[in-house]
Amino acid sequence: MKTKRFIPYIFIAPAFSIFLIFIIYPGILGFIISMYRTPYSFGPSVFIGLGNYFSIFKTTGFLEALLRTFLFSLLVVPTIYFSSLGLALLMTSPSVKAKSVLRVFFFLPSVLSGVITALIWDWMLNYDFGFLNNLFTILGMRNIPFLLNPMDAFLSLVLIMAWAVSGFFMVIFIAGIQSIPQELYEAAEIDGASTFEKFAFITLPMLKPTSILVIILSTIQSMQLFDIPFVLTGGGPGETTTFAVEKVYNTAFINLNMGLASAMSFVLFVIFLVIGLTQFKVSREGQFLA
Amino acid sequence: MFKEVFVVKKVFVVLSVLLVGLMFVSFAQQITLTFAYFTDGPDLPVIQSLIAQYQQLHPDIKINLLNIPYSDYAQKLSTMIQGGTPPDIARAGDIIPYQDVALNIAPYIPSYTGESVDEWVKNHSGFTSMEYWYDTRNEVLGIPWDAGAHALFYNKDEFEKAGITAPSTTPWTWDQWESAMEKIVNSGAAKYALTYEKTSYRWSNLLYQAGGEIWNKDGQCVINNENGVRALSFFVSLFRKNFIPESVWIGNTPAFSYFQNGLAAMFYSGTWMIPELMQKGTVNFNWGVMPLPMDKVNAVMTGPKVILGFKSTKYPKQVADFMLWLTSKPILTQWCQQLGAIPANHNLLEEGIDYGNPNLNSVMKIILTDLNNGTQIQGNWPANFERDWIVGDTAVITQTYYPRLVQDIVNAISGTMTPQQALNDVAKYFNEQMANLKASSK
Repeated sequence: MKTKRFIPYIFIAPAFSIFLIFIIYPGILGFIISMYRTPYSFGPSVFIGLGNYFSIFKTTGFLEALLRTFLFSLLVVPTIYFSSLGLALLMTSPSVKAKSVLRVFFFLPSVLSGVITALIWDWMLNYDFGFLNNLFTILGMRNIPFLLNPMDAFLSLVLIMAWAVSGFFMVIFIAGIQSIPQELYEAAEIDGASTFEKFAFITLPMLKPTSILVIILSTIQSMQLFDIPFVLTGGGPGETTTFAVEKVYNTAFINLNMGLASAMSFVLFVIFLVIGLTQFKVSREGQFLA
Repeated sequence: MFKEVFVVKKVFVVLSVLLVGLMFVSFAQQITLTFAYFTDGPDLPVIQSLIAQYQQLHPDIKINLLNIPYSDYAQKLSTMIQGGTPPDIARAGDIIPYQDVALNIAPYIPSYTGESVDEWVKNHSGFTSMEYWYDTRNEVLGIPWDAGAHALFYNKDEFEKAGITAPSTTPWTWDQWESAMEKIVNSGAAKYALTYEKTSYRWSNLLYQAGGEIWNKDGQCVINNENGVRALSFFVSLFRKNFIPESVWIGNTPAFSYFQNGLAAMFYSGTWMIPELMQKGTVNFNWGVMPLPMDKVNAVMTGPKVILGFKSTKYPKQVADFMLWLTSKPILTQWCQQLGAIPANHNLLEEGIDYGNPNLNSVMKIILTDLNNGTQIQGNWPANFERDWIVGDTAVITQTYYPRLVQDIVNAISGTMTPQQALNDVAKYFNEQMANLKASSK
């Protein structure tokens, strides 16, 4: 009987060990390192308590990078939401043919790595070598500095990220739409509801839990973005596309300041934790309401 | 019958155990050294063949070459060191970041070279600051290997089309250089006149040509003085006139792609590009090199590479021996001949190297003459350059926070700051970091 009580723990032990070794332990170590000043030359570190946390917002430009990241999320999350919902509605519409082929086509960008995505779009948008600007030259039009103008570069990244991940969220929305009982639509049709009314009063409310999931996941994903701006714009022009994670990277591996970078990482961890907990609370409430 | 089978099985088992035992003993006696390396491209097969040569001479030593892309090199090496698993040997651009973890090979020099440490340092030190570490800490922390110098390559075909003759001994002034650029663009010979690598080190050459410096001898950042602003204003004006593509500095496009594709007639880079340019198929035009243009000062910067060992190695003697072998005169000569490199060895620089290729000999002659005429006199760097990049706290700050300089140069190019504002920001930031560094070392 006593042995039987331990059996479930034995089964979860391998997964928990991996979680402990690769998530919990490095996290604790990172927090400890964040309380040290690490010199440039890998010499002995000096304990400074919360000194790095005070420095973060005073001198390092991390606050600006964080605000930039929030603004990026503010623009990209609605873009992702509406484009993936739109694609899902299209893919579940009875009037669209070859749906299975189209679904693969739209899903494909989400299986590409961020680096490949960035290289593809550099090939498309580069001022001198890009496909689009070469086409404009042939048509006698002026080249567009997609990646050289700060605003254009920022907006290009919003659209590129939406392109890269909408396919993935489209699949989530498709599952959500397909789980809506057909009887609701039949009843609405009997009552004479229009297409728009069916969408606004049946589809959207029934997709609330899915919508919350998509918004939370895309928010976390957009705030963690690193590879695409790193490869495509290098964080530029200037620092206009340097987001929080790239700021941490630069601090750790260019400035070789591991202590400060660890403090920045911990701040980001707290932000993501708050977002994650919010999602958990909202989706639990959503379950009770549904 | 069964007895015979049993005997055969027994013999097989015994032989297998012996074989495994022998393998174990031989592996246990073999020393494996990890060598972290970044390649400029064509040098990879050369270093691999040198390692094979060394292993033939020392069968008890195996060298694992860990080839890491240059863009990831500093990060990867830093992670390995911070994680407590540094390599035994590494190629590096500078000793400064590794000064507290590098192996001091001074004890091994007399037995390997037959020279005293003093003599060896004097004979070996070419362009780099090995003497600085020896003079200040009585340690030999790394060995200068080869040195690249900044170089200005040009497309001979496009120059001919524009009707311009490139100088071979006397450098152009900035005014002459600018008017050549104007001629190139106006004649339609190339879309851009010049493509310029996006690094603070490359830009700093303009700073020295204008008579500027990053730090003064009192440890104050003075990059924003009149000469610094002159250098940055000149650089920015080349972008305004569309002589240089913005994509390189404001975007993330590699500078070389413009030269390689014939979109830019000149390419401001360094001698490390020579092996790649000499490879068939890299470019489909005739190329040459000219002396770096000058303003108030004829300044030519070098970018040395060093080889260093790490204190944590289990085999310090073997590491030191390999380092000394790799940078010995015959091996270094082989290396430089095959790659068109400049040796960072004082004796070899004085004797000169026959590169065995008439084109390469003429290219290297221009570069070495330029170096000798410039302020980088052999073994004698000007004090401001040493202070800015090589030795002391000032060099530590420059090497740690150079991205701020790049960012502010980009701000000046994109027009969000004037050149004076951009360099004022750099000076303020560098001086703040210097104050932090001094406060933390008390």
